[in-house]
Amino acid sequence: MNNILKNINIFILLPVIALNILGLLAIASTTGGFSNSSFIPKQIVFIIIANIVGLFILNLPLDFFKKYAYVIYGFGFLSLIYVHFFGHVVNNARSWIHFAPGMPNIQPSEFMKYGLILALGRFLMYRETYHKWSDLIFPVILTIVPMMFVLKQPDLGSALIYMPLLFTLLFALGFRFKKIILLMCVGSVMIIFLWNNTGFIKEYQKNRVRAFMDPDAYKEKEAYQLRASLLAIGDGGIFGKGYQQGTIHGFDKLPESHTDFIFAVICEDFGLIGGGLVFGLFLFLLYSLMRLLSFTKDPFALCVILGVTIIMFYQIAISMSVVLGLIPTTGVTLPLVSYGGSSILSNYIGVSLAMNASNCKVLQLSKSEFNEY
Amino acid sequence: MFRFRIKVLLVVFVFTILILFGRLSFLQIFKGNSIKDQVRRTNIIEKRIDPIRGSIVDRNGIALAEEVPSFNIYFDPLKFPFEDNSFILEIKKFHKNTAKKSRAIKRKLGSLLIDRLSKEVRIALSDRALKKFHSVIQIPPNEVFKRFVRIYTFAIKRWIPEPLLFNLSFEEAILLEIEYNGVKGLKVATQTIRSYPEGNSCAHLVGQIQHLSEDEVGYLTKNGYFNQNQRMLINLTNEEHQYLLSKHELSNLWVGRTGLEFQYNKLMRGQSGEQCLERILIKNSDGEVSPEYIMLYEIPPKLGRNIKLTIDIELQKIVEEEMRKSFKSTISEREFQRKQVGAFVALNPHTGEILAMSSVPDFNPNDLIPPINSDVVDDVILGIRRPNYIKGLNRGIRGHYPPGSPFKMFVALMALEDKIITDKSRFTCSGSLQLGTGRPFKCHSNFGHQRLNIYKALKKSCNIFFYHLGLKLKTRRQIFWSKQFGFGQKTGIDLPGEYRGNLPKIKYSGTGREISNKYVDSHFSIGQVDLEVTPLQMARGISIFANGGYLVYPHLKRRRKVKRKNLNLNQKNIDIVVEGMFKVVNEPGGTAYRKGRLNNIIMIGKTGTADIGGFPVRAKPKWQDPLYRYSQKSYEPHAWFVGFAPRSNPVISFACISEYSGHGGDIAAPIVKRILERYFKVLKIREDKKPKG
Repeated sequence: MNNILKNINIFILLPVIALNILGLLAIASTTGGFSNSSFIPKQIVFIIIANIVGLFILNLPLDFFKKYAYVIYGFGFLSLIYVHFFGHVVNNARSWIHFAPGMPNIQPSEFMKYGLILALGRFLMYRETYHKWSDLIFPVILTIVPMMFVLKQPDLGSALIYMPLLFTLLFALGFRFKKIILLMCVGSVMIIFLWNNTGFIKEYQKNRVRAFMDPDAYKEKEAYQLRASLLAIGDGGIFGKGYQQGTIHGFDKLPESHTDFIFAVICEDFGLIGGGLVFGLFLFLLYSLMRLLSFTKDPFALCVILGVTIIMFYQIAISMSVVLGLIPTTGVTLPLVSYGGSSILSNYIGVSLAMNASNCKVLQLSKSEFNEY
Repeated sequence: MFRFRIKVLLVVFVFTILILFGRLSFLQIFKGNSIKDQVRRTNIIEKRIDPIRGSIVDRNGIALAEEVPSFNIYFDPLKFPFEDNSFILEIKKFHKNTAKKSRAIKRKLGSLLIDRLSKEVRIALSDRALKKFHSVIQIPPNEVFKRFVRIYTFAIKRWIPEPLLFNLSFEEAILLEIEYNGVKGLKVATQTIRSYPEGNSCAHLVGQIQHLSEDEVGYLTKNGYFNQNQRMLINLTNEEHQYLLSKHELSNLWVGRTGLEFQYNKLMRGQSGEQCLERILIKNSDGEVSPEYIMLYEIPPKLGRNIKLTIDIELQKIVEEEMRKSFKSTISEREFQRKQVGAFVALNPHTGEILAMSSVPDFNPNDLIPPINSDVVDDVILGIRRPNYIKGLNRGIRGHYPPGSPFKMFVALMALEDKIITDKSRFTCSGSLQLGTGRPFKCHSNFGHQRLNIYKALKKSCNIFFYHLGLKLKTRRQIFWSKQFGFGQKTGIDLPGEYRGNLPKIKYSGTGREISNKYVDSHFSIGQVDLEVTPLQMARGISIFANGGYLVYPHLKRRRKVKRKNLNLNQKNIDIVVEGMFKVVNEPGGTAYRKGRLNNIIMIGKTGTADIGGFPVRAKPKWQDPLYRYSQKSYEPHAWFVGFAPRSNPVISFACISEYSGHGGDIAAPIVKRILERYFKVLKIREDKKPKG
């Protein structure tokens, strides 16, 4: 038993558990009490399963991931292709695999992120020092192709993470800053091109951006959720309205309050204190993840830890910004807090991957040595 | 390099999270209070509580108009879940675009839109839905459809006060509640509705009520109908608050449009109350949370005041029954039954209380409670089919007629007061009177009444005698006295739309000298020329003889203080005229002796046969002219009968007119006779006491 648990980093586990509990509280508040809500038992089951899967991953040797990185990536990619053609449609998005009627649906784009990290880590681990344009072609293709599939589902929230992940990873690994800036410019030009010409960005997504620019004009439809979210947060004040007393989410005026907008629920019930606690826990979690970098010198492990941290950061930032009305509305769950099996599972996988990588005791090998190995 | 970049990354993370935290504190601390207000406002519901409108009762407490409970169905097309709501958006847009345009343009555009709407409604409310209504309520689907469309027209004004269906039975209401439970836009409401239990009786007096228009809400707001004592903690302005109250769904605001409902609207409507509810979440013992309403405050409505009338409904009913009887047309070529058109007004001669006021033809005011059938409007108000048979006209105060002979007793009193004659002076009636050159003016007796004094002149209603009086009095003096007796001016009755009447005018030459006109002088005295009076004025005039020289002010609402004006008349002169009128009814040879006499009770009265007047040949109207029929010879005179009874202790003074019917003694006197016989039985007056002195 000790063997199984010995790889766990307590400074990561503590904020993760705290966030889970906070999430459970908020979900119970917005869906009608602990005893009433049908979401609470499901969420508890998800967390238990996620813990088991996490423990399993924690105890696999990192070499396994290193060896089969591309294979894992390939599996993820295949599942994306499967979803593209035969996926299950929920909320107009064809992004789910439906196994059986009783079973929860699975969202492959949540797991594809980690496949991408593994593949990128495998490719980039010995290339800290290269600065040629031509060396970038492979990682960019690795990133863009699944992103297109995710964008086509459409799941803009998940797709938004792919490109920044690549850039940030490249930045941390020491790629030339100027070139990254140039790449980002190319990316933004591409977004403008997509916006104007192709069918990749749907009309309702455009409307959301317009609604963000001018909330009053779209207050019945597109900006409704945003306005409700801001009202809920403002209504909380400093000390909150009290547990289960928030009226905006209590009268079902805030759609998706238990998944994407869970942060608004916390802010309405517990006020600035609750919101600040969430921020503190996330900051502590990110810091702990970054601290893992100092435990290992394996380049693949470093890449994996960095990738997981960056993904966690972007998810938090995008989700919070949506709820706080800083960017247009898009569906991104708040990691470890929001309701949702795939989301919880993928976050646990990520965290345990990072912990696993930090325990890698293999010394840094030269390229030739690695080839032999 | 790597460590540096990691540090940069960490700084970026911290910085981003700080920005997010800053945004959070901005929303919760700096904007918190205003957002809290905003949220609270969405959870607070302010309801108007309508007061119950006061009822109208007669002098014995019998209700003429009252509120009765009823089940109404309200339909709000803006909330109803149609499959295609686009046309409602169109209405809204239409309203927005035409807000500043003139009313005529609005109406034009509106009617175009309504045409389109009626099509849309038919599609939206499929035949099945209409049939469902039909299965529950016994109204044909077409009728329901018509009402739907009508309510849509209100929707254009964004003001939907009218119930779709009203006065449902309890069973129907329950069935509909089950059938349409939870459908937005359809609601069954228990409310009160105006009812006139006496039906046609007093129809002209009580008037009618209608729903308020949106403009009138503003008027009510100014006049403090809506309660404004408390405004909640939320920062509503006064106007916003009142607008919310007035727009409360299922509006039940009524306003009087005619009659007493209009006159005493302010008293009867009361003041609306207010209820303020807040929706909050309440936790029960199991930890379940459920939304509930708590009462923040409640202001009960002030009920409308009841109006007690001076009307005696028993007398009123007797009067209406008798007035409705038809009479035999005598002068026209063929004899046939004609329906009575006319008025009867009865006053208490001492106080001016109106005991009965009826006008035939009449209508049922219950038909005029919305939703109104358009046929009723045509018939009652516009009189499209029979122009001289408008049912809605209150002839007691709106009808103006030449008084004819009943005016003679006033002239007699004038002459006696001015000491032009005494009861012993005599004039000779030779059957006609020649004034200057031209046609001689005739008396109605071809052989003349020979020499006669004032008693006989009144008894026989001799024209020549009064021509002489008129020539001596002159027009100026007659106008002065007419005004003293209350002619040519409003009586001040508490009903809207009273007619003033008309008096002849004195003409002046260019130098300002009065032009004497012997024709006007003489014919003024027999109540012709331009003289026009209403039946109410006539009844008030005759009261002067009954109460010994006081001008009373007729009124419908009961008053404690009696207001009347002393005319300083000589009681002897009044007695002389009353003696003359006594002979008209009670002595053989009097004009009303044969048909108007009462057994045991002495009635004082004067008949009248008011000619409508012909047209000179040159001005004779052509047949297209609406005045054409007045120029036909076969047209009969108005029949008047005015007076009071009993002589010793007058309890009632009256004026009765029957339009275009014949001689006053033949037509009007018998009506009054029948009415008084029945009324005195009710009052248990069997014999007249001996006259005073």
